[in-house]
Amino acid sequence: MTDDDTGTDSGTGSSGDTGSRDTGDGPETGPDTDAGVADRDGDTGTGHGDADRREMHMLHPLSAVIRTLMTGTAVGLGLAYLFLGGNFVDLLLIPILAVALAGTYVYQHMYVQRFRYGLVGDEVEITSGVLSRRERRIPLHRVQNIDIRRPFILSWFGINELHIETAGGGETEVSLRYVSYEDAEQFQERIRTEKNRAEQEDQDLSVDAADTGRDGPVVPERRDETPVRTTELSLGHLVVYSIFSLTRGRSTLVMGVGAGMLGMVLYAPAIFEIVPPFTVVTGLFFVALLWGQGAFQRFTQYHDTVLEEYDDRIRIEHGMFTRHERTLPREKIQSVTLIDDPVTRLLGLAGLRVNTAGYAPGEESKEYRALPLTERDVAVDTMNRIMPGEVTDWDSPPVRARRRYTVRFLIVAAGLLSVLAVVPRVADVPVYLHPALPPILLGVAMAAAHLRWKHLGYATTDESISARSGFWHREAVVVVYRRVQDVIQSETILQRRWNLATLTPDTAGSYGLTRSNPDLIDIDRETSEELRALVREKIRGEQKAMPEPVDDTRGKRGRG
Amino acid sequence: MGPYLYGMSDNMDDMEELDRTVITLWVLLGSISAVIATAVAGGAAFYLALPFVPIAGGAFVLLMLVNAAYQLRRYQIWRFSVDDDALYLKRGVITRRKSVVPFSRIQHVDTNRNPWERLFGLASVVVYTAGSRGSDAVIPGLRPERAEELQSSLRRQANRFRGADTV
Repeated sequence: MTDDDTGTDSGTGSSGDTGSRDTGDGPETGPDTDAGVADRDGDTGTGHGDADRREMHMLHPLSAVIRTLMTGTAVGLGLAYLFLGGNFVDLLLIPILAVALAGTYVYQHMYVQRFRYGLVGDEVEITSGVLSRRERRIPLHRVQNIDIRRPFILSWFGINELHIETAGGGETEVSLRYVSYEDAEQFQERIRTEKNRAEQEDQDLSVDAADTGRDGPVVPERRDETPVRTTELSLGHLVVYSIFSLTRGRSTLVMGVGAGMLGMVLYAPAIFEIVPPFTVVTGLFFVALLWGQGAFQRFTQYHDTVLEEYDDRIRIEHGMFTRHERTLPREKIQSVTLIDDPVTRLLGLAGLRVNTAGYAPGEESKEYRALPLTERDVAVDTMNRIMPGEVTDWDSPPVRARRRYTVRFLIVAAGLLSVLAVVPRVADVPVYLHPALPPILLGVAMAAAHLRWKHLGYATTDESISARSGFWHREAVVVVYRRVQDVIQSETILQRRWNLATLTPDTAGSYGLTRSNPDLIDIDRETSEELRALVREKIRGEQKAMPEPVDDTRGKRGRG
Repeated sequence: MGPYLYGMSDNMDDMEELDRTVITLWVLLGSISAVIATAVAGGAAFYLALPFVPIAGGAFVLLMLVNAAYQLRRYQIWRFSVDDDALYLKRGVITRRKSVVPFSRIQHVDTNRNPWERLFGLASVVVYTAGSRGSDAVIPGLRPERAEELQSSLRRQANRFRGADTV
């Protein structure tokens, strides 16, 4: 039942490497069966990379108990439901539950006893399974990041979860439940240094390592280094963020209900004669409750957020009950997004999202933020440090794009007016069309078009290309050229009429989760062609600087 | 920004066309939708007690003409070229799309032959990048030999950068 805990192969490409295979031999055959002690010092200065040097660890000794309780609770509840409903109650329930729990415990105990994880050569190896043995190997270069998750309550006893993420796919590749905090930290650190070392070796092997356009050589080992910079989320900003940045669904609901109420008061006050006032009050209360609950979620999720920047990575820690901790190697960051809305713009604040290839843990909503909200300057500075290429001036799309939006919004307004005009004829509902309504709608459409246009922007620097869009929820995405995977220019039939185009420098962001690409919307077609050529030229220059591959035995490494 | 344009083929004449056979395949596949739409139109005519034959027949003829024109245009617009730094694709009747896939970003290259393509002696090449829209780069309507050739040449090009960390 829990063999699935190690996740499924969802990675791109070399899934053959990680596929399960029956090995037959249990962990007993390994030389160091006891909670791996082979090499814990994390010092990678000597004798590394030997595939024969196995370093396998076991899960936390209490894992079986906790796992039993977790599944046992579900089993117990299920049985209770079945039997309470069938009037068997007490007598039968207790022994059955006991047997079920005992059985679960025996299984979990065996599972945990047989579970091993560790680093073998340059692969993360996980062996698991009670009935069918499973051995998985994930090449280090495929590992995107290792996250420690601290479940509420359990973390008080030093029990943590370790999650291994790989690029591609939408789910965690491997979840290790449970691991002591020291083990988790040590393993995370070990993977990180080994990865750096492997990449360093690759660089050393190549001829012109310094000119590859990558970040400079990474210093492999500094265990207790202090971060170059630490940014903490202030309580005030957290409160503002919690209150004003609801998830999209919630804010739509809150605003929809609000607008509906306003509309009813203005246009159909008679409706309150039909609908009893307490219904309205209940509705408002319900909306307030949803809002409050959303705000509370945000508040606890991002409470005490700390962003630490190191030379080679950034580390984010946040959460009130469950502490989330993420370490992102700098070279795995695909793009960075600066987020604001009318309220935060007015207050001079902004949030920051870091987009990586693969799935972001703790991403309940689609907005995982490195810095939920902070002073705009701080956010911009942080963004510039994480993704080089400081944008000073945003170019606007041509004014004819605004005309396009005006036309678009006027069509919407006309549609609305015709609905209001037709409704009283079809249904027997009196609708009072205020004579001021058409000019008001015209004004709103023009203002909306202007705002949409005004907040669109794009910029290029020597190192990066950026785009900005949105009024209610404005995102400015920056990506460095060497993180651009491909470039797509698209021109719809309407855009061609206006001689406009949309240019998308595509990055390896999370699939379908959040927008991590800077879309340069409705820019002049000629400009689009030029920028497309510019990006291509940048990548071309980078390719020229890339060394020819060295024919070493580890040629399989390369793509993450 | 003229200087950036060097080495890039954006001239339709310099770029490779698809195999002509693909027009027939596309027209055939498109006519399936035309038949379905005709059935819907005919059904509506029948239900509303309108003259069935002229409406269904007219819809069919019109849709087939539109389909043929559309597929022909689609073929005329479709171009690709393997340059010295990237694969470049140009296509789309309603929404025109131009994609640049630099060789250093190619993850792997597949050739595909679905039953329809086999029937017409065609193949397509699918180029994968790590990009969130990576599977966008599909070149249909190739002779199988050309597809193989394209696949191996793209692979060779991509291999030049296999040591590079691009994700």
